[in-house]
Amino acid sequence: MRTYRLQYKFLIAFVAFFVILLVPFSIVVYKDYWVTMERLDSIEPLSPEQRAAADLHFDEILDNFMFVSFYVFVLAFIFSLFFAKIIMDPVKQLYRGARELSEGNFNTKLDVTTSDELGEVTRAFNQMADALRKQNEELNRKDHYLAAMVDPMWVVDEDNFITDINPAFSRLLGYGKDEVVGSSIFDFIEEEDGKVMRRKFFEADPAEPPAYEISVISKTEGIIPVLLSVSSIMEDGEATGRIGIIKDFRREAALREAIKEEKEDTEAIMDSMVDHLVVVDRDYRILRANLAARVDMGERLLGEFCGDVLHGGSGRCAPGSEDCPARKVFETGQSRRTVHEHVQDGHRRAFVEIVAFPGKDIRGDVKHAVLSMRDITEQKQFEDEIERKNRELTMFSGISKILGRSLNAEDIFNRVLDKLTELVGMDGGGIYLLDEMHKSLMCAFHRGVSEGFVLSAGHIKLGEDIPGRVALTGNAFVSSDVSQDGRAEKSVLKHSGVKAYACFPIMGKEKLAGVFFMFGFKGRVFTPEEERTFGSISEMMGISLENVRLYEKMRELYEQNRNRRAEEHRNLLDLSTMLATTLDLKKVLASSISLIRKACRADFVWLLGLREDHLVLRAASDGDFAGGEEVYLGGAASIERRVIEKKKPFVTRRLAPGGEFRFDTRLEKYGAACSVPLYIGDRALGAFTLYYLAARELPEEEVHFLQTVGSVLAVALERTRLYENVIIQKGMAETVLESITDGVVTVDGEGAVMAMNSAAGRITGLPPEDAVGNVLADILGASPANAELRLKVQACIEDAIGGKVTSAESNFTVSGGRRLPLVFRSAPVRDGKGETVGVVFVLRDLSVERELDAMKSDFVRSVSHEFRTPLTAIVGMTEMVLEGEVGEQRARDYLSTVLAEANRLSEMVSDVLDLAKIEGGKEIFTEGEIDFRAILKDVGEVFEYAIKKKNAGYKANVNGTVKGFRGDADRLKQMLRNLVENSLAYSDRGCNVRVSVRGRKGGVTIEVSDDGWGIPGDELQYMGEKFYRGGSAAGTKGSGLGLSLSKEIAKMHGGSLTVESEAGKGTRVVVELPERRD
Amino acid sequence: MSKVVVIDDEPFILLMLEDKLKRAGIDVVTSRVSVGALDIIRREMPDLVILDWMMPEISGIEICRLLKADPELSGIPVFMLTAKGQEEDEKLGMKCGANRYITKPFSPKMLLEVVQEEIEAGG
Repeated sequence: MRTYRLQYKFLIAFVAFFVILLVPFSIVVYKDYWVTMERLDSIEPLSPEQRAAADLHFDEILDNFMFVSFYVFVLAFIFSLFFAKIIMDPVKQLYRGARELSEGNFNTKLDVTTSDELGEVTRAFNQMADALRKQNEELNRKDHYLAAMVDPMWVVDEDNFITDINPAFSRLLGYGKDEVVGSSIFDFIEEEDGKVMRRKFFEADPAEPPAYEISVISKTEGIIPVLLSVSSIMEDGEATGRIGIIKDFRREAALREAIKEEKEDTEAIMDSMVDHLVVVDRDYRILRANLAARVDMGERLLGEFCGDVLHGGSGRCAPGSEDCPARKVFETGQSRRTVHEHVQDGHRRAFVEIVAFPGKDIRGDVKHAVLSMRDITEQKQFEDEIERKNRELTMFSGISKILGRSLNAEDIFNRVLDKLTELVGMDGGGIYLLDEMHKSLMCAFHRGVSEGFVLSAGHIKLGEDIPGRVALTGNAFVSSDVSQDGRAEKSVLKHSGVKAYACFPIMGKEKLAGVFFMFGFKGRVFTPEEERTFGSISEMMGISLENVRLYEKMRELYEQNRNRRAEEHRNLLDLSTMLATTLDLKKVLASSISLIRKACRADFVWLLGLREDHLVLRAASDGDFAGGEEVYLGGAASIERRVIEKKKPFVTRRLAPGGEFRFDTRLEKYGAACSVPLYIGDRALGAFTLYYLAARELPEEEVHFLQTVGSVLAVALERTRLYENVIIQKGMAETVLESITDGVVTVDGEGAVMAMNSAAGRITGLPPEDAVGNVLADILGASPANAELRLKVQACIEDAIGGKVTSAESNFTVSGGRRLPLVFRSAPVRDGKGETVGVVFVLRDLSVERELDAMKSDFVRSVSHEFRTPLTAIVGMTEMVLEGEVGEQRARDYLSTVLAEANRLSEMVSDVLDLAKIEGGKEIFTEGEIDFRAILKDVGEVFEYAIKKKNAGYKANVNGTVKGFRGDADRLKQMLRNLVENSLAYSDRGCNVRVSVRGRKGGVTIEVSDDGWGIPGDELQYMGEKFYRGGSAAGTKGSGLGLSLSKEIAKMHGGSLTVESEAGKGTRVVVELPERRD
Repeated sequence: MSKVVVIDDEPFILLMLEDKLKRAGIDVVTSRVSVGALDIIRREMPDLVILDWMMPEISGIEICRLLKADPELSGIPVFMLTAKGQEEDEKLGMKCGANRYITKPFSPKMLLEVVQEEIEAGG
């Protein structure tokens, strides 16, 4: 409203201005008019018309003047409005801004529209508004801080009345701001605390804000322990109030309580421990100690150096003292365990196990070392005891092992000495064995003793020196320093440098066996336990020594026995080998007799055979006796007669003439005799007798041995006799067997070969003598390829044993991979009683038959091939001629080829037919005198072209007398043609072919030879077999009939054809034809 | 003009085949020896090769096997001409890569037909 007033003021000012301006002007105009009129009147009086006109003009001027005045007034009004607006707008804006500010909108910003003083005012207003906004923001932020504070805060005036609190205060104490402002702060603090606080406030130095642990009273939770810090609010150096910040101390208080309890507990635990616990600082002073430590080491322990207290010694642990665990803990920061050995009360040794742990502060630095100490003396003693026992046991077990494992004295005692010196830690030792005969001790084994010493002191008389005394008395001698020992006055040890010495008797079961000693160059205390141990060991040694001696004795006996047995065995073996390898009776007997004589060390041996009732000399070890002599006639009471009758050996120690037996006069010089009968079953064969010059006793074993020899000899004699009988029959059978081409094998019930003929040997590839004794199935079925054969053979043997005759067929793969088709037939072999004792196998190798079969089909193929080629010409060319495809001249050529090929075909057909005829014996032999020269000429002409083409050398000649030889000329010509054709066909260009016909006594020899390809050895055997064509025939034409036909022709003439050839060298065919007589 | 190489050690067969095939407008190159047969084939590059099986030195089967193993020549069809009549022989011949197996004796007319057939098929 006031603004409007200002506007009106402007309007009034304007109107006034207008009036002030217009009134003088109107007066001037009016006065001017009247002046003008008077002047005009003075010059000339004015007529009324003039006056009227002048009045009118004046009215007009007045009208105009009114109009102008109105116009100016309106203009002035508008201007005044306009200026009023220009001035009022910024003022209004300022007014608005000021209102907004007063309403709290500090973001007010006014537009500066003019650059005049009003603009300046606006700008100043804006700056003021900005400054106010910043101030306000600062205040707001501070309010936020206060609100965000977790810890409660209050502000009091100088009289401690609360002026402000933050929200945390309300949260903790449960009072709203309205409730507390104006109240005394002490209303919220426990009374006692309040009193203290008042005093503290009074004393407090304003620069250092104090902190108090007090309790406040909460509306909801009662009394709460807190930490209060108070600071003064200073204004112009004058304290106007205080700010207090409270920290809820409930958790801390609880924690503190817990720590306190914990500490008490720890103390209690520490005190309840039996082990000593002390805590030392880095100066090794004891800071704390548990009850056990305090009791045992005195209450005044605290503050002492641990070294002084613990081992009454040197104060602080010296640097480098290895086993100070506290030191180690400080150095390394790691715990450390060690065992200290303390000497207590001057002599008692105590062992203390100390475990030191690092005590670290909050930064992890080691501040203290906690030492836990335990007296382990007792435990240590137990351990030592156990260790000692262990050592002893080890020693015992080691030594008893050695003693138990071997029966070789040297081995045992050397090792015992090694073990003992090692286990006891002595420098050496030895064993003296008692020589009862010489009443002395011999050093048998020793360790660490020089040979010189052994030589000088190795032989000790009983009772001399220490070992001698020990041996004599049986009491051990032990000395820790022998050089100081009075008992060793006379001993060599006295000055030997030996100090520790122990000598123990080695006791056998009943008597002393020796002594053992040990020595060391250093003094050594032998504990009673050790002495006991040595005693036990020496006992063990004694037993062992006796065992060894016993064993050696037994061994000696055993060896003797064994040698004797071995000799007997060897003799028997010699005898049976000899018997088995010879079948010559005389030789058998002579050898046996001499062997027996040698084996039994007899002076004379003879063997008498029983012929009818007489005893006939069969063999004697003395050349004076002739075989076949009848020594004792039937009924003569000789020693041999007696043993034959009694069927058992007889020994006589003395041969007394006129005694019980009758002796041949030549035997009178002998003193003793032993006779052994020879029997096969119940059949007596004779007896043999050993004679000794000296009277002697024969041990039972020897008689037993002779009996064995007798049995062997009897069997051999019988076998030889039977063999001689059988050999003739067998010889015949064998000849038959050997001459048949089938393999015959006899096997026993187990399938082992008993006999085999040579044909079987050829088939199996094993010489018959090697095959005997081997199992047939193994011989035939050795390789996996023959598994089937093996099964079949086994089945056949089983069948045959079952009495069946069976046959089977199988392939037999021989070494080298060749397969033989084998057919075999098996039949049981029965003995005289009709029992099956074996199986006879007949093996037939079918490969030759199979090969012939193959050859036959080869022939069919080959003949068909040979027939097809000429047929091609005949069929093909005839067709072309008939079709009129060739000219007349060409047709003629064709037909002549057809004719030639037809002739070749016809020739081949006749070859085949000829062969069939000759073989079938149907060929008619057209005999006449043969002119060989003419035949050779003809043959030469036939091959003239072929020879020329091959550039071959061809020579044919006839030698000797061939005149008058009779034969089939056509056939012989055919034969020669075939042979020459072969020579030319199976040779390279430039070959040489020779044909010679030589007359000789009783016939003619025709030879066709060449230096061509020859025939390999393995094919040669089939040459001349019908239809066979060798490997080199593959590229040549032929029916494989030529040589067969030639052979047949030679045979037809009563002669023979043989082929000799070597691969690469050439072939020679020789035909021998006998002279034919009418 | 098509070309056929015939290798046979029997001169009359060469003569006969040459006459027959030439009359039908086919160029014929013949050889009596098997040695060098492959060289001839390589030189002539014929449309067809007719080989006798049984020849001295190198058999037809061997030539056929070598020819089929040669990448340059393996495309040329081969007829085996042979007096071997057994079935297994034929199998062996086919195994060696022969395209046709003609048993002696044969009709020249029939042979010409199959030769023309093969050449036409080969294009």
